Amino acid sequence: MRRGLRARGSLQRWPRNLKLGVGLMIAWILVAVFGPMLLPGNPTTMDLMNSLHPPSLAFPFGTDNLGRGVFTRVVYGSRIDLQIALFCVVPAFVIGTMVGMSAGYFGGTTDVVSMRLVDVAVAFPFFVAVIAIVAVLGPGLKNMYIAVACVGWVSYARITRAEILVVKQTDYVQAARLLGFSDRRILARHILPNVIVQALVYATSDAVLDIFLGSSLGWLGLGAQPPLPEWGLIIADGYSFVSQAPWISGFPGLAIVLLAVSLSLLGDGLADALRPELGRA
Amino acid sequence: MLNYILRRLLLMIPVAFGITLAVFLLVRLIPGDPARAILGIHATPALMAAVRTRLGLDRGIGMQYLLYIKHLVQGDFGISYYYGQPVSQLVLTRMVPTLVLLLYSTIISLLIAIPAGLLAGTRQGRGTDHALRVVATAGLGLPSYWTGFILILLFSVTFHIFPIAGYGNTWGARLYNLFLPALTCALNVAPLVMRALRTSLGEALGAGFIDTARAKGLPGNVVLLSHALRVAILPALNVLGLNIGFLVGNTVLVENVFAVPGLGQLMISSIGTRDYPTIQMVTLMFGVIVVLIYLVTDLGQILLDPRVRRSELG
Amino acid sequence: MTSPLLAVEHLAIGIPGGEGTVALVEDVSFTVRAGEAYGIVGESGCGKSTTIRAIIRLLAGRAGITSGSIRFDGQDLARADEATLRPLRGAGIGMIFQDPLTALNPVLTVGRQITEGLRYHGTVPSRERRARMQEVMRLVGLPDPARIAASYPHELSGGQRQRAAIAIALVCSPRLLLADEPTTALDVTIQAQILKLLSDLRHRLGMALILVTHDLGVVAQTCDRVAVMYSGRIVEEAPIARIFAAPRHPYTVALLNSIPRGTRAHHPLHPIAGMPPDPAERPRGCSFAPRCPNMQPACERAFPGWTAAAGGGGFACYHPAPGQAEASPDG
Repeated sequence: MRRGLRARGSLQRWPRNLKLGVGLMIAWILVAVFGPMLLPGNPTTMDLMNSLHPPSLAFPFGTDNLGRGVFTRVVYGSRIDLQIALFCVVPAFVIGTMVGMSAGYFGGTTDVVSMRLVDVAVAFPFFVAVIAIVAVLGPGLKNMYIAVACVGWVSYARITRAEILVVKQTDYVQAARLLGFSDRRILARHILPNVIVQALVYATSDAVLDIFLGSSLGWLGLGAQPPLPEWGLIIADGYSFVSQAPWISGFPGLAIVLLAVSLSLLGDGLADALRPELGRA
Repeated sequence: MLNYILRRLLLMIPVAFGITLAVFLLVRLIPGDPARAILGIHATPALMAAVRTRLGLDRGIGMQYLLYIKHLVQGDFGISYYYGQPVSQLVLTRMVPTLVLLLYSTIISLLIAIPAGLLAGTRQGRGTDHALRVVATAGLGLPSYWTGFILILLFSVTFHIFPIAGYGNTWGARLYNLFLPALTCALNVAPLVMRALRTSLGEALGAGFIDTARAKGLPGNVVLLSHALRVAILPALNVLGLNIGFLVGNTVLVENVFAVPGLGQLMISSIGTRDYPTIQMVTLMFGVIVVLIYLVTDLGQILLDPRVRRSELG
Repeated sequence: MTSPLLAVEHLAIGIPGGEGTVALVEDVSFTVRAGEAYGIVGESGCGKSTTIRAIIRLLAGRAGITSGSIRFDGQDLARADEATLRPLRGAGIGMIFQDPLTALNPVLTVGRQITEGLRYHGTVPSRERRARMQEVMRLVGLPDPARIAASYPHELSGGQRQRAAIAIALVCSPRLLLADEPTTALDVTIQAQILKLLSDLRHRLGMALILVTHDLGVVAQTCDRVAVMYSGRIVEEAPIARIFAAPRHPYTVALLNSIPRGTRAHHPLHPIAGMPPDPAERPRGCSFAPRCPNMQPACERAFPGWTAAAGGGGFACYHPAPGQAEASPDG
């Protein structure tokens, strides 16, 4: 498989959706890193003289009820929402692949216990489970990350375990075992690279889900807290002005859609690029 | 069939144990005295003592869990001190709108996904297909609380076709009022089903039995619908079943957008009022709903697919 | 002699591509009389399946008829539209396919799949459909029709599935049955049963049969006349006895030598060296020339014309094997 990846490494051979996805994600990261430095305004400074301004040259996305530029807030917000994606995905990814790998590789009690945990965790809808945990821990981004780490690993564990069960039977892992390599070495050298790819493809759609979750919690008042310019929170601000100033909620929503589509394209492209190799592995 | 259902219900016992334990532990996560958390800072000492006894707080955690299970089995889910009524009553009345919304949005997503999947699946690689796939990718990226906002802006504020919020007293009014909420949920789920249908339809149309059906002299639409779609719909329905958790999660948001008096709205308002017995029970109900929907999905597969029927029922 | 049931004339089939059309089948002509069994033999990829699929106009993918005609009962199917073809499919011409596992819809009962044709052709009133279904099922040797009709394909054995597929093809009493490698996917013992069944049915129902196979042995048991196809063309056609007794085309000879058969057990086996050419890169002359033992320079210049043989049939070769009773080919 690694050979396959390298063979497809040249840019021209990438599927179109992968090129587009990678390009858009790079653009997002640039916006998040440099956008706030380039903008003159401040996302939290109120200017009541300029409240509820429709989009104009000075305020491309208009202003909210407190006179803050929605464009400025959306650009600053990209930092928060990208951070949400990252902080939700990484722990879940690490915990999930580790649980899944040990369950799949060692089997036995490890497998039974972790799979029962998975059964229970999937019984609760992801959103509901996170909201319930945040309800007892208290609102805020930090508690949301804890809640996501508690339940988000499940999908990674399932995917990894299923993949391990397949890879374990392949000739090269069997051969490595016969040669007496240690479990850790077999897992790290032979199994991890194959399995990680599957989990990575899933991670892109998981990131979309986490951005939905993070902004939804912000919108519900359980995630990022004002005056942070988190997108869901901005949308919540605009809800009261649906008829007077639809731009307040409209533009941050578009930002979420665009970020979600960028990540989906990246994920679909990754899956497309890897599919022939996966079939051969 | 009855045997199978019984077997499946037996297999659910460990899951039921797990989800009740999870929900039980949830409230124990609250820092400080659970009785204080449940009753709030203004509770009388007598009430505090009563709640402590009820939860068995003077006993070990194992006993507390058994006590919790005992209450559940008795149908005693505790009292919501905020609403001043038994949680069971509260949750049961709030469950109906949620279930209606779930069913309604499932139907709408199928009404969107099946024609779209048919169109894309029969025109793979052509313009219609590409356009539908772009729309599907965008649909998957729509956060439902924002889609709801846009639909309100469009259908309620601008055109006054549907109400901004509400539920209604008659079934007719409810279906009318719930249309936008159900559509909002469906817009997230339909792309998943459509994509699955597109793929499976492509496979089915290339299968040998399509040649046989055409060689019989069946009209094109009969070949497509009663042969290709009949087979291709099965994996698509499976995708719908697998994403039911996602759909249920969306109803929580959408109920809060459109003020539908369902479980999701109850959950969020209970968080605001720190009504922990209610939060606990609603969480448990969501778990129960999802597990039961998984069961229904499996049963549906058995009814619709004779191959699964044979391997499952023997 | 009456006019034939089916007359294929100068049929050409191709796939449109970036650099012009790739020809799958070129200049194929043959006739099938009512009640006759006609075999088409050749290696895989020679265009035999494509040819019979074209008759019922079920070409796969983007392949299409580029020229020629297919007259069935005087009607040209090569140019017919769907509305004209639909009543003919199933009722005039039935077809069975290679793999009985995939040829039946996995989620519909066998009975429904058999009666379905009756429903859409409207030849049998609805209350008699069940009786007709059971009649056909008995005809194809499916025991206990009521039980099997209620079964799903995966509940039947491979042989039963192929019998069910034959029942589907026969239920509307077609006058011509197309069989595309009907036994290839089956066990050897089942193969013989299915072949015998096809022969019996043809005689009992007075139906014509076109049997496509890569196995000359199968043709020997079943057919009256046979065409040998190579690389998209018919290279030889003959009554069944003559093809075995006096094959003329070197390819036919090679094909006969390459198959182990009881009656030829004393002959050594000679696999044909080389591969058939890719349809996109066929040689200009005789496409068998690169593999042919009799090859001469002329063979590579133009495709040899058709030489009619006495007693019907003929061959397309400049340097054929000597005939049974003649020293040199005429014409």
